[in-house]
Amino acid sequence: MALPEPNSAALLEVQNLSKYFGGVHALEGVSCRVEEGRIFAVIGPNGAGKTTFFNCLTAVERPTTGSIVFECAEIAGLPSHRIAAAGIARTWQTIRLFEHMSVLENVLVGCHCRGRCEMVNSIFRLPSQRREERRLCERALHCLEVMGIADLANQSVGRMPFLKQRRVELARALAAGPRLLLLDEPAAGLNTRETVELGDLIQAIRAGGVTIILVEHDMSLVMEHSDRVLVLDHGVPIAEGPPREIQENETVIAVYLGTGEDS
Amino acid sequence: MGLRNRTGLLVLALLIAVAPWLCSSWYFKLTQAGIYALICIGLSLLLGYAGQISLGHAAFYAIGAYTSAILTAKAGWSPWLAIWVGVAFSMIVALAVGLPSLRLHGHYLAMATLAFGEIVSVIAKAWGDMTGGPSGFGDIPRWSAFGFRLRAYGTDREAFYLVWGIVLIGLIVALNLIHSRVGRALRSIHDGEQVANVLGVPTDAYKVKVFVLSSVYASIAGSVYAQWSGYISPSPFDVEHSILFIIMVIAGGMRSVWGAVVGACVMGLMPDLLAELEKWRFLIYGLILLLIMMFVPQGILLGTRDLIRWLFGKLKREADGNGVAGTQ
Repeated sequence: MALPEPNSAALLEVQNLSKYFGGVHALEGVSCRVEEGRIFAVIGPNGAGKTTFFNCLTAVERPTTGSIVFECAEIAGLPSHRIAAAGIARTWQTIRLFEHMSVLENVLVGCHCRGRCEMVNSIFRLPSQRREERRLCERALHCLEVMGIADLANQSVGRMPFLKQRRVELARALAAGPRLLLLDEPAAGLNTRETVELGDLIQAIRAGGVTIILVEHDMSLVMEHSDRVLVLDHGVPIAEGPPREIQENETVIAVYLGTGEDS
Repeated sequence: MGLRNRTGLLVLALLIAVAPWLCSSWYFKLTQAGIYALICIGLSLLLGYAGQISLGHAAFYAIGAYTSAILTAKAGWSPWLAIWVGVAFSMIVALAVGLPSLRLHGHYLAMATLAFGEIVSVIAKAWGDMTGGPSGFGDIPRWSAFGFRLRAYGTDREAFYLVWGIVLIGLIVALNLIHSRVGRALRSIHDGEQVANVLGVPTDAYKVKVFVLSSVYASIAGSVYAQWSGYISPSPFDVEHSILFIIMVIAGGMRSVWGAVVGACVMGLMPDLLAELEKWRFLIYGLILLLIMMFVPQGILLGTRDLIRWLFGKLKREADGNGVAGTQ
């Protein structure tokens, strides 16, 4: 069987995606193609609809119109957990961990779609359930090791420093073994050195076979690591292309720097 | 389920074993508290773990009790069978109530269960032919299992052992569930339903499942109650009791099934201590709830643990302080 050309198969194809909140057009006719194995960045000023874009992809918000095809299957209209099972994971702009659970337990929730045992198996601790539990724990611990925080496994997430919480959230998102990972402003609150480390981490995740969509304000991270960039302004896509082209695109410059009248 | 929980189970088993020698005059109350504990364990899975509130759990208690009572007393069935018929019936009813109301976000389950609790209570009072109406009916055959008979009010040690044996089993079942993939999914719903859903947890389905499971606990408790007391009437199954169960769970500590057991015992024994103040019972319960929410929101169980830790810490600091002072 001939393998598809590397990096050429579209993993995600979004067509004409719109999301209206009453009269507010949060997203208007967004289309994009994310190829497998790429890092695809979505940028834009605050309120451009970047997070709404992620929310539509993960069914946190139901798109008003448009189609989202992931691995050749329409996922617009599916509930969030089915989309997760299909292989899309995300992190959140503000960290959203399960506060009353330990680090390991948080990541184990991320492993949920990798298990099958339901209530009856669990209640009676059948051998199949115990085997699965061991397997899930190993998987979760492995994810923590990859993030370099395996030593924190049994700590509670509440009192953990911000940076570590970010890593826990990333480990939790990766625990399901997604094909596509959506990162919502992962560099927010990081200093320059930490941002560089994050870039390496993102590259490592991509090298592991995960396609990444990155919503980010930190241009150094976007320009250095992404393969393609989509620019949104007030929910409308205004440019798409390789980072270098985007940097030179006049519409984008106008949106980011103002049209020149102010300066 | 971890060393701490195993130790807890062992300690509880020992306490149950020696209880008859410690407080034989409290058999009746302790047996009743055991039945409450069973309901509260199920309710704590729903309320404390999955974060969903049911204001009608006494209705499932009633379904279990009346099903068992009617089938054994009027149709001559074996109590063993009647319990499971009650469970099946409760599960079907819980599905019918839970499916529509749990798919909506917000307090729909609370409202639906409140209404449902009232409906069941009215049926129990009005359907005289079947339920005996407001005065209820008696002559329910007593259940016996493994040589333990649920026999009489008052001084029955066997009933105490049997009921608390069932509580132990219920506790083991709940602890097994909590320390599993399903249990973690339930807790994740409480902490962040949307996040859990995006991680792949079918949150709506789990909310319905845990609601059904908690109805099973209440139904078994109801069957045991009927077979133990030999007489039932609608009054222990009214909405007031649904609220009492919630107070028990919150008082003991919502985020632990152990708390449910502690809450059921403390609140279950309370009426005896407050016998003089019977009329003011619900006012006092309300006050207890208020005080707990204000001062020990983690519940009596964890609150006591924190208090002990604080005291030890203080003693230790003082000892250290004296040590330092001594060397100077």
